[in-house]
Amino acid sequence: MSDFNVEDYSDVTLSPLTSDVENELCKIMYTEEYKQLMGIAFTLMKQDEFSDRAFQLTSKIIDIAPAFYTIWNYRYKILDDKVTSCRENDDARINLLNDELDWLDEVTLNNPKNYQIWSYRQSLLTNLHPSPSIKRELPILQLMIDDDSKNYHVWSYRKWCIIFFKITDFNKELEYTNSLIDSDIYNNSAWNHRMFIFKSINQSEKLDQSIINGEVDYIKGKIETVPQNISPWNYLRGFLHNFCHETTAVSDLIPFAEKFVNIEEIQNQQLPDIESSYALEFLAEAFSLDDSTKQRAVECYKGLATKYDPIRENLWNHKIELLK
Amino acid sequence: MDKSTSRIKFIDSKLLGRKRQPTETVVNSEENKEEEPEILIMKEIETQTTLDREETLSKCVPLLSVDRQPELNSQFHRMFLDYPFQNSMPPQMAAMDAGQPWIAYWVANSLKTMDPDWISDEYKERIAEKLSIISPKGGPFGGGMDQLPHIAGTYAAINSIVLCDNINDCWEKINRSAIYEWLLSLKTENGGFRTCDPVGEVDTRGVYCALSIASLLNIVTDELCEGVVDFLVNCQTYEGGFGGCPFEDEAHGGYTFCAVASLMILNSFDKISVEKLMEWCSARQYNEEKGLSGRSNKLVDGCYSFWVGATAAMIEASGYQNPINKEALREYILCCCQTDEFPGLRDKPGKRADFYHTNYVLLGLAISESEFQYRDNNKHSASSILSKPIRLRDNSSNLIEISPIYGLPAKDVEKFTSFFLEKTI
Repeated sequence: MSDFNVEDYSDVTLSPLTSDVENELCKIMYTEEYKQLMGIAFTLMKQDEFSDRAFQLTSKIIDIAPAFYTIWNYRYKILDDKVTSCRENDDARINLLNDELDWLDEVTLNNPKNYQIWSYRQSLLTNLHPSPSIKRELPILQLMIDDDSKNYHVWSYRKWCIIFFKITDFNKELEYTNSLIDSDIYNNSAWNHRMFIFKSINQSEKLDQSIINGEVDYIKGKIETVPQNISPWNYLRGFLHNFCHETTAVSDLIPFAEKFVNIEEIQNQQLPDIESSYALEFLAEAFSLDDSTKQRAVECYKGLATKYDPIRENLWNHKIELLK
Repeated sequence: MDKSTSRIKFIDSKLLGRKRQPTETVVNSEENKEEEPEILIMKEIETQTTLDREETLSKCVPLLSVDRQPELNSQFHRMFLDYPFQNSMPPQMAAMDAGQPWIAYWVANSLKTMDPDWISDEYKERIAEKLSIISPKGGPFGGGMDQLPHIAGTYAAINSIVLCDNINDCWEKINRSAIYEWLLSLKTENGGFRTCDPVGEVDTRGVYCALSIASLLNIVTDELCEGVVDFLVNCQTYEGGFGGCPFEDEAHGGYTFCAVASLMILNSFDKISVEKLMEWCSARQYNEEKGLSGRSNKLVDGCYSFWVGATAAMIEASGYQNPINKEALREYILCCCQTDEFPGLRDKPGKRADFYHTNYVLLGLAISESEFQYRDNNKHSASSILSKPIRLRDNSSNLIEISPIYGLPAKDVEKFTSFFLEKTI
């Protein structure tokens, strides 16, 4: 692909970017370069020109205005047209689309918060590419997560890939979340992705008991490392809800949660220092499940409301109301 | 520069500088107590998450402990908002070139929330005129002149025109049937809406924009809503909040708002676990900063005062306990989201004000000073949520009542929807 050269467009009349209306609201004072590039692009779009020079122009514009979704759509239509013109030749089509993915990787690295990149990529893989591969997708996702381990779009796209490519070997994916949780135990996106993996496994084959026990041990280990961490506690509750007989499983974990809280002192309203407000919340919920321990639950919620997590008083009082 | 060199340079500058190995230190509980007496955490590991949090705490806590009654500096913020309506915008605003209706909505809505008289007839006329430049046929709207129609651009355009009190009959000029046909064409098989055709994302944000537009214009039909409730219900995660896409995308403040507001419009709030949603909303508020975060273990950000605060307000209007501490949220907003040095409102201390944050922080502030209920408890319609000011110990910010579903002044929503009430598609 040759580089952008403005002389290739010398025959194109520039479309105006603003109206003739005097005093137009929120008029942007575009730079000359911007006016020229966009002016050419709008003219070419109006003519439905699907040429190489139009394609090169879209690269140039996405470089300076990555959120300009109209240009992404224009580029997609040109690409679609190119793919159609070599529909007889699979190799040519694959080369064309892989080049496009290479280009997209570069744009992605420079624009971590951009929306358009990911939907463009999905459309390309879904509608145009004859032989898409998850192997081609993972390296860029890895780089993006190395840069920002909670990048929402990247996690969402990774999940989309697992579904789109019908991945059934989930061990690699689990190892990946292990490594991210090892480097930041508070990374909720990684914990969330784990839930997605287990739900996916459970859809294809019912999770067997040893896997369930293994995962509960994993969570317990992470909680022991840092007890005051909302991510594994939320995940624990979600995991028990999704894959276990919830009430039994929750009750079984009371002794574990009591390791972080001196529950007897809390019952006597002494409000000692505790290691985890989330452990106390877990205990409150566990005690709520059985009529004989409801009063214990109330004392836990009172402790949360007065000392351990007072900003959430409204929620704790609501929980106490439910117990009455 | 060839590709590989540029990639290495990028990695050097952007990645290596930020990547930190976790340090396994158990923080001594005694030290911890001295510095931050309210935190009872005994064990923690230093990671990127804790470093980011500490930085935020170090900037917020001093501002929150100032011993004076914080007040909204409305007149000062007005300067920030009048500027883009009275001047051309500098070249760096070209970054918003594909979102021009958003600027109109954020700025006009911020002004009107502070004082309805701050939106002059001249502003209203020019907003209406701007939208007719973007779409001479009255919609659907793109991000600017000649741009493709976009669901978010159309949402922001309709919200902007709601604020204009039908000046010069501008409401008559909206092309409802064209907008309806176009929304139908964006529907996807799984019950979502594509934000733009052919390339655009499909998530709860697109669903919310579509339903907000349609319900305001009275063009909601069974065909338009087919499969939408299922799409939304499947976005609720084990944490209780909602992700952008079905099947376990991470719960997130913005997407949660979009899903919950959509369910309110569809009268299907009872289809989800409200209890889990309450837990999740409440867990967004931190004891130390007092503001709201958008996800578990992420930082507070003023914009979630609306995204999460409005979700909590919708829960309240539906007859449940509001899971948020409004008084504390108000304190975060007034102490941490404004300064005397620069007008406008911001994400958090250390960040610059922008129009997006100014709008959503102000809406969050309005919510923190109001109570919510349905006008008629037997008949729930999206435009009939009443917001009543709470009597405050400190001075109220005197913001007007806003609709938590639409992020617009409640009176304007009522006026606009009654205008289209009798009209058919």
